[in-house]
Amino acid sequence: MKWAFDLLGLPIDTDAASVKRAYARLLRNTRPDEDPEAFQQLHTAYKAALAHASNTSAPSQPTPESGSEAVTPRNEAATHPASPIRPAATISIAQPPASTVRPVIPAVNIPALANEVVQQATHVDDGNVMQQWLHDRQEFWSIAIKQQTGRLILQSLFKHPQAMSTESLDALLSFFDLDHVLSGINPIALQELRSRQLTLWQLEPHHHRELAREMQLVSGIRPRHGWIKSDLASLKKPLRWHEVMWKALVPGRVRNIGWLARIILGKGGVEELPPSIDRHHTYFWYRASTTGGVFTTPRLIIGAWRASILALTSGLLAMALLLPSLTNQVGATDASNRDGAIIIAFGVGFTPLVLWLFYLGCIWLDHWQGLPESAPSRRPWSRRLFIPALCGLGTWLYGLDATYAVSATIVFASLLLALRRWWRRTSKHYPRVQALVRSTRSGIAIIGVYAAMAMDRSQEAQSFVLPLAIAATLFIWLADTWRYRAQILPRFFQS
Amino acid sequence: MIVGIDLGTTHSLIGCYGDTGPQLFRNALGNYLTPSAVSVDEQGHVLVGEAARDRLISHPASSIAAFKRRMGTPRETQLGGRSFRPEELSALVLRSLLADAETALGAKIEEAVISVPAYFSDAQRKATRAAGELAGIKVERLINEPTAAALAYGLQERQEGSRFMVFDLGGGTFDVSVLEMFEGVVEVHASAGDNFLGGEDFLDVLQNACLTDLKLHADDFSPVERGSLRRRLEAAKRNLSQHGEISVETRTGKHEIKWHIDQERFASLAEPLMQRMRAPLERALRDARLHPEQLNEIVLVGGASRMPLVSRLIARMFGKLPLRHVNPDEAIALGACVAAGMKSRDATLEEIILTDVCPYTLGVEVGQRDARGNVQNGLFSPIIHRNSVVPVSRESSYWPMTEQQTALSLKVYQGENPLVNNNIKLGELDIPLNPALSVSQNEVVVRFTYDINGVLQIEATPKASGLRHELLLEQNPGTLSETELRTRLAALSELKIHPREKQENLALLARAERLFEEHLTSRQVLQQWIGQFRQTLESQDERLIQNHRQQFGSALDSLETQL
Repeated sequence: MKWAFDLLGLPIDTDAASVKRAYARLLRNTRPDEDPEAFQQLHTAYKAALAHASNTSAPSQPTPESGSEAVTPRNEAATHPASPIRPAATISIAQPPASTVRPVIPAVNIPALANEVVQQATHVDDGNVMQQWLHDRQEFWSIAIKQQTGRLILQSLFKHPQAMSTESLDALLSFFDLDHVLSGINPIALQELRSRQLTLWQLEPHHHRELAREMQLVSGIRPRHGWIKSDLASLKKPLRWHEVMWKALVPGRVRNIGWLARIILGKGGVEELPPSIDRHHTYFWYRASTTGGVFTTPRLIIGAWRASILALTSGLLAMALLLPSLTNQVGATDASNRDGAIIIAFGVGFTPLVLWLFYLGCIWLDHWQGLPESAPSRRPWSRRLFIPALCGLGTWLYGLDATYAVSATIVFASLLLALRRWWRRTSKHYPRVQALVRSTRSGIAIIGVYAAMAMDRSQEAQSFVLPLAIAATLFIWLADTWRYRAQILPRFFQS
Repeated sequence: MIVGIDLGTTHSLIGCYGDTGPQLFRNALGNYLTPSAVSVDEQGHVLVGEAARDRLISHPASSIAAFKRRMGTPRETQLGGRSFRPEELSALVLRSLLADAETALGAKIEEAVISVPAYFSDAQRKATRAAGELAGIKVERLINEPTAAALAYGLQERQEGSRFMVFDLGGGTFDVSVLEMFEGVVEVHASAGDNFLGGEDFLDVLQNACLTDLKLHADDFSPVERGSLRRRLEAAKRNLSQHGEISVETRTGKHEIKWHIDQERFASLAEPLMQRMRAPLERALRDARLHPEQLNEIVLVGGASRMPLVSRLIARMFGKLPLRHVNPDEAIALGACVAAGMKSRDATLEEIILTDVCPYTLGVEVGQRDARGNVQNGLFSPIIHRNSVVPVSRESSYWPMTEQQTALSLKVYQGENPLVNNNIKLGELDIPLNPALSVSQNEVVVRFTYDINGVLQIEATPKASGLRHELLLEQNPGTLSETELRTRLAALSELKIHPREKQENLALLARAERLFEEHLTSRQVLQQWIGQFRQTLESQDERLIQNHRQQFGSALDSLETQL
């Protein structure tokens, strides 16, 4: 603060009137049209010094929250906070000249009025109706009343969020000019307020249709109205495991409730949940529905549960199918038959579990390789060199004349990985090509199909396919590395 | 000598800062107010002012008014087989004003200060400057209209340490400014406004109500009849302010117009317009960080502020009645004269210093990642906030959204909405980036400089390369380029303009022709009078013409009061 007073050539803590006088004097030598930069400096100093001077000279002004009593135009001067540019010496001029007649405005209870406005906004869904209602209120013609009411409304919207439609909220914000107040501070705050009110509104029982529309918009899946209704009801109660286990087995159910939780949480954040919604329960489903390389405990629990149920049912099914046919075979004892059936059934049941773990591994690998170069990492070189290492392993096995299918599978997996890495790390958008390699699942399927095909292909056909795949993998990987050369080796490639 | 000019929607004025203070010049007809209307007659001669306004009714196809509302747009008007841009029409008005001033001063005028609505955008300001250049003068400064009015008012009152609000409701624009005067400093705290709200809109309301009441439609009338009806209603609007109620009885074309309206009805009809006035008033006050009772006075300027509705609005909103010590029609022009005096460093104005603000927010479009990593596009990132004191220069840094980005598209907007779609786009610039660098290394510094005349300069510099890119806002379709300006200037100087001495006669003839269109009963007499006057004009006997002119004028006066 001292710099401002120094620039004005005043001792610190000079009163506002002297600050103005000094500014006016200095302004004659730094006119705005002649020396813009010096003028900007002087003006900034003047504003800062003036704010400081009026803050220190009037410390006992009431805060904006003190509008709890009824306000009439006559005692407004007492309830208003000091403006930063209000100098102590000129307070007397606030009285209007004697010749003017003050129209009498009836006393208004500001907090009650603010409350009434918020209540009205929660009841009216149509923005135009809300706007008309506000325009028709005679009290708000008075700027003094409107300013105070607007301030209270903003506080109340942030402290006690109420369900209201976006249209209604927008009408309210724009009438009291609160959208500009907010966007001046932080445009994101305005967006968050808007989406939070919207979520609250959508969670109300008769607005489920809007909620479903929103879910379809953000997720791309078509939500089921029956599920939304029952899921919303269950989210209000604490988490119960038997419910989770049951829902995990219905196809699509986890995704549905996950998106619901995502919409509820994703808008307002965990702290801003409506009181009726159970926080832990919602958060559980939110974490359970994550996709890609994010592995959360609920997701693993649900995955493991699904895989084991699948294993159990397929095992039992296999046993039920195999047991009668084995017992009918001639020349085998009953006991050994039973043992053989159990072993086969166990093997059949075990496969889903293994496949699930393999699937998880593939997803993780894909995610890990697709991370951008700037992503923090403890061993960045292992991430950068993984693909050539994998490809090298495949080549080595091929050279060893080991099983051709194994080496081919590894090489093609590394080729797919390199492709995925290239697309995921590029900022350009090629929707058609990307759609081909987008899904991890399709990648895994391709490897599987290829491995199966490689097993009964003739040696001649394979002789040129595999080297070609190796070359392609290395080429793609090199191209990707070259793109990021400036970040990988900043010393050599940065100008 | 620098002159001050108020280039208004309906009327324009010119003056200068003389020895005794600001003084206005009269036009050829002896009035300070010259209507901002342009007309082209049958011989291709250009008429400006009173005569052109009368010809709006008798020759609507070759006359135009209220073109200030089109400033900054490329819209052209066809008049007498030639098309005019809004800049050129304004230039014609300016030329006529300058001719009046040159006659009064006896010297050639080369520089001027022109007032513009505070809320005029960059394109509109550039158009006003272009109009000055087309009229053959250098526009030394553009001053905001409410600021000009405040200068005139402040100098007149010389009240120390006072805060006041200037409420400027003109023919086509509405502006509000909150100012403070202390120690010879006139400081504008905040300005707000609406570029499309003025007296003309109130007239539209009146016209629509009249036609609806009589179950008529605007298409039922020929352009001539429509102009005539509008003129009637304008007179009714003025009288309504004085008498509280008014009856309009006239025959227009084949329709009998018999209509009655009182102040109460007018107030309820104008309610939507009053609602539109609320927001700028509130915003100006809040931006100035003042409470209603901290204002000493509210000064009304602009012709439309004479309406009792306006006083009532102020009383309802501020709890006090406005003061009107100034002539609402002349205050802005007088202020422009003071500004001209300040520009030429007049000794008596040496102590006065004016600081003004930029009334709107200027910024660029950005995308932003929220806490959950979703990208939101189309957000407005302000660089110069509204009501910053000018001249102002601010800079702000921006980064590309993704890795490998090859260019940063800088879109410049003006407005107050957090979403750019609701703001006005000023221009666009692509800044090439080095895709090999990471996001954080690819910082671009954008600098906005807004000068005292309201002209915006934009510079963008990528930090890595240090190359400066400049955005030229002249590429806007609403503004004329340098070469275009020169060809337009050449074309405009070929136009034949009636000499100033003839203005009085022409105005009288135009008025007679307008009355001929308006009044069915006295048509024969009027036609006779017009023919006689034309004959006298052809005689070229100065004394004879003067005598006849007086007679003709008083005859027309009595005819007009009769009806």
